Amino acid sequence: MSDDSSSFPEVNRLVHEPARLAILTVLSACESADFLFLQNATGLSKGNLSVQISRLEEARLVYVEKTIRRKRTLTRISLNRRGRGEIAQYWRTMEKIRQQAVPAT
Amino acid sequence: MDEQDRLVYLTKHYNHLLYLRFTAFDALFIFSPWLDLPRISMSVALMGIGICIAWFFLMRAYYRRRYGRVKERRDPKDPEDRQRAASVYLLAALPCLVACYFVFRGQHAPPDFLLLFIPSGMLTEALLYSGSTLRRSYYLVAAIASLLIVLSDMVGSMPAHRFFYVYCLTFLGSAMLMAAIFDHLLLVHGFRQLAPRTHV
Repeated sequence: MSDDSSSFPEVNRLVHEPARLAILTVLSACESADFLFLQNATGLSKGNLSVQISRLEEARLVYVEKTIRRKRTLTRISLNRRGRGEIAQYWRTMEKIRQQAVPAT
Repeated sequence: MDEQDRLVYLTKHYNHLLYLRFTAFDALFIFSPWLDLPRISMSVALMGIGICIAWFFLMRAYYRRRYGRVKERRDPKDPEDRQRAASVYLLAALPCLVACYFVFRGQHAPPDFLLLFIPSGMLTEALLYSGSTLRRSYYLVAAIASLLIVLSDMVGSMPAHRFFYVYCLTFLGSAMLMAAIFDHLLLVHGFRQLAPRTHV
Protein backbone atom coordinates (compact mmCIF):
# COMPACT_ATOMS: atom_id res chain seq x y z
CA MET A 1 0.00 0.00 0.00
CA SER A 2 1.35 3.45 -0.88
CA ASP A 3 2.05 6.20 1.64
CA ASP A 4 -0.78 8.35 0.20
CA SER A 5 -3.42 5.77 0.97
CA SER A 6 -2.09 5.20 4.49
CA SER A 7 -2.80 8.86 5.30
CA PHE A 8 -6.49 8.21 4.71
CA PRO A 9 -8.54 7.99 7.90
CA GLU A 10 -9.21 4.48 9.19
CA VAL A 11 -12.61 3.08 8.26
CA ASN A 12 -14.36 0.61 10.53
CA ARG A 13 -14.58 -2.47 8.28
CA LEU A 14 -17.34 -4.00 10.33
CA VAL A 15 -19.56 -1.03 9.45
CA HIS A 16 -18.18 -0.50 5.94
CA GLU A 17 -19.43 -3.83 4.56
CA PRO A 18 -22.49 -2.96 2.32
CA ALA A 19 -25.02 -5.31 3.93
CA ARG A 20 -24.12 -4.28 7.48
CA LEU A 21 -24.01 -0.62 6.46
CA ALA A 22 -27.55 -0.92 5.06
CA ILE A 23 -28.74 -2.56 8.31
CA LEU A 24 -27.09 0.10 10.45
CA THR A 25 -28.47 2.90 8.24
CA VAL A 26 -32.01 1.58 8.67
CA LEU A 27 -31.58 1.18 12.42
CA SER A 28 -30.06 4.65 12.79
CA ALA A 29 -33.28 6.15 11.36
CA CYS A 30 -35.61 4.49 13.87
CA GLU A 31 -35.91 3.31 17.44
CA SER A 32 -36.18 -0.34 16.41
CA ALA A 33 -37.18 -2.42 13.39
CA ASP A 34 -38.22 -6.03 13.07
CA PHE A 35 -36.46 -8.71 11.05
CA LEU A 36 -38.99 -8.59 8.19
CA PHE A 37 -38.64 -4.86 7.69
CA LEU A 38 -34.85 -5.14 7.61
CA GLN A 39 -35.15 -7.98 5.11
CA ASN A 40 -37.41 -5.91 2.85
CA ALA A 41 -35.32 -2.77 3.16
CA THR A 42 -31.92 -4.36 2.64
CA GLY A 43 -32.95 -7.03 0.12
CA LEU A 44 -30.90 -9.65 1.95
CA SER A 45 -31.90 -13.28 2.31
CA LYS A 46 -33.04 -14.50 5.73
CA GLY A 47 -29.83 -16.43 6.31
CA ASN A 48 -27.54 -13.62 5.24
CA LEU A 49 -29.43 -11.05 7.30
CA SER A 50 -29.35 -13.32 10.33
CA VAL A 51 -25.58 -13.76 10.01
CA GLN A 52 -24.97 -10.02 9.61
CA ILE A 53 -27.17 -9.20 12.61
CA SER A 54 -25.31 -11.80 14.69
CA ARG A 55 -21.99 -10.17 13.75
CA LEU A 56 -23.29 -6.76 14.73
CA GLU A 57 -24.61 -8.19 17.98
CA GLU A 58 -21.25 -9.84 18.71
CA ALA A 59 -19.59 -6.47 18.13
CA ARG A 60 -22.13 -5.01 20.58
CA LEU A 61 -23.46 -2.48 18.08
CA VAL A 62 -27.06 -3.70 18.10
CA TYR A 63 -29.49 -5.07 20.62
CA VAL A 64 -31.64 -8.03 19.54
CA GLU A 65 -34.88 -8.77 21.34
CA LYS A 66 -36.82 -11.95 20.61
CA THR A 67 -40.39 -12.37 21.79
CA ILE A 68 -43.07 -14.89 20.96
CA ARG A 69 -46.42 -13.55 19.78
CA ARG A 70 -49.20 -15.86 18.67
CA LYS A 71 -46.78 -18.78 18.29
CA ARG A 72 -44.51 -16.65 16.09
CA THR A 73 -41.09 -15.34 16.95
CA LEU A 74 -40.86 -11.59 16.64
CA THR A 75 -37.30 -10.33 16.39
CA ARG A 76 -36.74 -6.66 17.04
CA ILE A 77 -33.39 -5.09 16.42
CA SER A 78 -32.26 -1.73 17.68
CA LEU A 79 -29.04 0.22 17.71
CA ASN A 80 -27.45 0.73 21.09
CA ARG A 81 -25.53 3.85 22.08
CA ARG A 82 -22.26 2.37 20.87
CA GLY A 83 -23.83 1.45 17.55
CA ARG A 84 -25.17 4.97 17.04
CA GLY A 85 -21.75 6.35 17.84
CA GLU A 86 -20.05 3.96 15.40
CA ILE A 87 -22.35 4.78 12.47
CA ALA A 88 -22.01 8.52 13.15
CA GLN A 89 -18.23 8.14 13.31
CA TYR A 90 -18.30 6.13 10.07
CA TRP A 91 -20.10 8.92 8.21
CA ARG A 92 -17.71 11.51 9.63
CA THR A 93 -14.78 9.43 8.39
CA MET A 94 -16.35 9.04 4.96
CA GLU A 95 -16.89 12.78 4.79
CA LYS A 96 -13.21 13.35 5.67
CA ILE A 97 -12.16 10.92 2.92
CA ARG A 98 -14.43 12.70 0.45
CA GLN A 99 -12.98 16.08 1.37
CA GLN A 100 -9.44 14.73 0.97
CA ALA A 101 -10.31 13.18 -2.36
CA VAL A 102 -11.97 16.27 -3.88
CA PRO A 103 -8.80 18.46 -4.22
CA ALA A 104 -6.89 15.56 -5.76
CA THR A 105 -9.40 15.10 -8.62
CA MET B 1 -31.96 10.48 -3.72
CA ASP B 2 -29.19 7.88 -3.30
CA GLU B 3 -29.39 4.43 -1.69
CA GLN B 4 -28.70 5.62 1.86
CA ASP B 5 -31.22 8.46 1.58
CA ARG B 6 -33.88 6.04 0.32
CA LEU B 7 -33.25 3.68 3.23
CA VAL B 8 -33.48 6.53 5.73
CA TYR B 9 -36.57 8.00 4.06
CA LEU B 10 -38.47 4.69 3.99
CA THR B 11 -37.58 3.88 7.59
CA LYS B 12 -38.36 7.33 8.95
CA HIS B 13 -41.64 7.72 7.08
CA TYR B 14 -42.77 4.09 7.01
CA ASN B 15 -45.61 4.56 9.49
CA HIS B 16 -46.82 7.64 7.60
CA LEU B 17 -47.10 5.74 4.33
CA LEU B 18 -49.68 3.30 5.71
CA TYR B 19 -52.78 5.46 5.26
CA LEU B 20 -54.46 2.69 3.30
CA ARG B 21 -55.51 1.52 6.77
CA PHE B 22 -58.05 4.35 6.83
CA THR B 23 -59.64 3.70 3.42
CA ALA B 24 -62.84 2.30 4.97
CA PHE B 25 -63.38 5.67 6.68
CA ASP B 26 -62.70 7.35 3.33
CA ALA B 27 -65.30 5.07 1.71
CA LEU B 28 -67.79 6.07 4.40
CA PHE B 29 -67.20 9.73 3.48
CA ILE B 30 -67.46 8.99 -0.26
CA PHE B 31 -70.77 7.15 -0.01
CA SER B 32 -72.27 9.42 2.65
CA PRO B 33 -74.71 11.24 0.27
CA TRP B 34 -76.28 7.90 -0.62
CA LEU B 35 -76.35 6.66 2.97
CA ASP B 36 -78.69 9.46 4.05
CA LEU B 37 -76.62 10.06 7.17
CA PRO B 38 -79.06 12.11 9.29
CA ARG B 39 -81.71 9.40 9.07
CA ILE B 40 -79.45 6.39 9.30
CA SER B 41 -80.40 3.89 11.99
CA MET B 42 -78.11 3.38 14.98
CA SER B 43 -77.53 -0.32 14.20
CA VAL B 44 -76.42 0.44 10.63
CA ALA B 45 -74.18 3.29 11.84
CA LEU B 46 -72.56 1.02 14.44
CA MET B 47 -72.07 -1.70 11.85
CA GLY B 48 -70.39 0.81 9.52
CA ILE B 49 -68.04 1.98 12.26
CA GLY B 50 -67.34 -1.65 13.16
CA ILE B 51 -66.41 -2.44 9.54
CA CYS B 52 -64.10 0.60 9.46
CA ILE B 53 -62.32 -0.48 12.65
CA ALA B 54 -62.05 -4.09 11.44
CA TRP B 55 -60.61 -2.85 8.12
CA PHE B 56 -58.04 -0.76 10.01
CA PHE B 57 -56.79 -3.78 11.97
CA LEU B 58 -56.84 -6.03 8.88
CA MET B 59 -54.73 -3.56 6.90
CA ARG B 60 -52.38 -3.08 9.84
CA ALA B 61 -51.90 -6.85 10.01
CA TYR B 62 -51.31 -6.96 6.24
CA TYR B 63 -48.59 -4.29 6.42
CA ARG B 64 -46.95 -5.99 9.40
CA ARG B 65 -46.85 -9.34 7.62
CA ARG B 66 -45.79 -7.95 4.26
CA TYR B 67 -43.32 -5.20 5.18
CA GLY B 68 -42.68 -5.54 8.92
CA ARG B 69 -42.75 -3.12 11.83
CA VAL B 70 -40.79 -0.03 12.63
CA LYS B 71 -40.84 1.87 15.88
CA GLU B 72 -40.27 5.54 15.24
CA ARG B 73 -37.44 7.29 16.95
CA ARG B 74 -38.46 10.18 19.14
CA ASP B 75 -35.80 12.78 19.06
CA PRO B 76 -36.63 16.16 20.63
CA LYS B 77 -34.15 17.81 18.26
CA ASP B 78 -35.85 16.34 15.21
CA PRO B 79 -38.32 18.80 13.61
CA GLU B 80 -40.51 15.86 12.63
CA ASP B 81 -41.06 14.84 16.21
CA ARG B 82 -44.64 13.70 16.56
CA GLN B 83 -45.55 15.58 19.70
CA ARG B 84 -44.31 18.85 18.28
CA ALA B 85 -46.20 18.21 15.05
CA ALA B 86 -49.37 17.43 16.96
CA SER B 87 -49.14 20.67 18.92
CA VAL B 88 -48.47 22.64 15.70
CA TYR B 89 -51.48 20.95 14.11
CA LEU B 90 -53.76 21.80 17.00
CA LEU B 91 -52.43 25.34 17.21
CA ALA B 92 -53.10 25.80 13.49
CA ALA B 93 -56.50 24.11 13.41
CA LEU B 94 -58.18 25.46 16.51
CA PRO B 95 -57.99 29.21 15.72
CA CYS B 96 -59.24 28.35 12.22
CA LEU B 97 -62.24 26.54 13.67
CA VAL B 98 -62.97 29.27 16.20
CA ALA B 99 -62.70 32.01 13.55
CA CYS B 100 -64.99 30.12 11.18
CA TYR B 101 -67.47 29.52 13.96
CA PHE B 102 -67.80 33.24 14.65
CA VAL B 103 -67.95 34.15 10.94
CA PHE B 104 -70.51 31.56 9.95
CA ARG B 105 -72.36 30.96 13.21
CA GLY B 106 -76.07 30.61 12.87
CA GLN B 107 -75.72 29.33 9.32
CA HIS B 108 -74.07 26.00 9.95
CA ALA B 109 -74.05 23.20 12.46
CA PRO B 110 -70.86 22.48 14.45
CA PRO B 111 -70.00 19.35 12.35
CA ASP B 112 -69.40 21.64 9.35
CA PHE B 113 -66.58 23.39 11.21
CA LEU B 114 -65.10 20.10 12.29
CA LEU B 115 -64.55 19.26 8.61
CA LEU B 116 -61.80 21.91 8.62
CA PHE B 117 -59.68 19.44 10.57
CA ILE B 118 -59.29 17.40 7.35
CA PRO B 119 -57.48 20.04 5.23
CA SER B 120 -55.59 21.07 8.33
CA GLY B 121 -54.39 17.50 8.88
CA MET B 122 -53.37 17.17 5.24
CA LEU B 123 -51.45 20.43 5.45
CA THR B 124 -49.62 19.14 8.54
CA GLU B 125 -48.77 15.95 6.67
CA ALA B 126 -47.44 18.00 3.74
CA LEU B 127 -45.39 20.41 5.82
CA LEU B 128 -44.05 18.18 8.58
CA TYR B 129 -44.09 14.53 7.59
CA SER B 130 -43.75 14.49 3.80
CA GLY B 131 -39.96 14.07 3.50
CA SER B 132 -40.10 14.14 -0.29
CA THR B 133 -41.16 16.74 -2.84
CA LEU B 134 -43.59 14.36 -4.52
CA ARG B 135 -45.42 13.52 -1.29
CA ARG B 136 -45.41 17.17 -0.19
CA SER B 137 -46.92 18.15 -3.57
CA TYR B 138 -49.86 15.77 -3.53
CA TYR B 139 -50.68 16.47 0.10
CA LEU B 140 -50.56 20.21 -0.56
CA VAL B 141 -52.89 19.81 -3.56
CA ALA B 142 -55.22 17.60 -1.49
CA ALA B 143 -55.17 20.09 1.42
CA ILE B 144 -55.94 23.09 -0.81
CA ALA B 145 -58.67 21.20 -2.70
CA SER B 146 -60.23 20.02 0.59
CA LEU B 147 -60.09 23.51 2.07
CA LEU B 148 -61.81 24.97 -1.00
CA ILE B 149 -64.49 22.29 -0.88
CA VAL B 150 -65.18 22.82 2.84
CA LEU B 151 -65.22 26.60 2.47
CA SER B 152 -67.41 26.53 -0.63
CA ASP B 153 -69.82 24.38 1.32
CA MET B 154 -69.81 26.87 4.19
CA VAL B 155 -69.82 30.08 2.13
CA GLY B 156 -73.13 29.86 0.35
CA SER B 157 -72.40 32.66 -2.12
CA MET B 158 -69.57 30.77 -3.83
CA PRO B 159 -70.40 29.31 -7.25
CA ALA B 160 -71.52 25.69 -7.35
CA HIS B 161 -71.94 25.65 -3.57
CA ARG B 162 -75.17 23.64 -3.93
CA PHE B 163 -73.26 20.89 -5.67
CA PHE B 164 -70.55 20.88 -2.99
CA TYR B 165 -73.17 21.06 -0.27
CA VAL B 166 -74.47 17.66 -1.35
CA TYR B 167 -71.16 16.08 -2.32
CA CYS B 168 -68.78 17.80 0.10
CA LEU B 169 -68.02 14.62 2.08
CA THR B 170 -67.66 12.64 -1.15
CA PHE B 171 -64.97 15.03 -2.39
CA LEU B 172 -63.18 15.04 0.95
CA GLY B 173 -63.26 11.24 1.07
CA SER B 174 -61.95 11.05 -2.50
CA ALA B 175 -59.09 13.44 -1.69
CA MET B 176 -58.13 11.37 1.37
CA LEU B 177 -58.46 8.10 -0.56
CA MET B 178 -56.26 9.35 -3.40
CA ALA B 179 -53.60 10.55 -0.96
CA ALA B 180 -53.70 7.14 0.77
CA ILE B 181 -53.33 5.30 -2.57
CA PHE B 182 -50.40 7.54 -3.56
CA ASP B 183 -48.78 6.81 -0.18
CA HIS B 184 -49.15 3.07 -0.73
CA LEU B 185 -47.68 3.32 -4.24
CA LEU B 186 -44.79 5.37 -2.86
CA LEU B 187 -44.15 2.66 -0.25
CA VAL B 188 -44.25 -0.21 -2.77
CA HIS B 189 -42.10 1.72 -5.26
CA GLY B 190 -39.62 2.60 -2.48
CA PHE B 191 -39.14 -1.04 -1.49
CA ARG B 192 -38.87 -2.14 -5.14
CA GLN B 193 -36.12 0.40 -5.77
CA LEU B 194 -34.23 -0.62 -2.67
CA ALA B 195 -34.28 -4.40 -2.79
CA PRO B 196 -32.08 -5.25 -5.79
CA ARG B 197 -29.43 -2.64 -5.03
CA THR B 198 -28.35 -3.79 -1.61
CA HIS B 199 -28.50 -7.46 -2.51
CA VAL B 200 -25.13 -9.03 -1.75
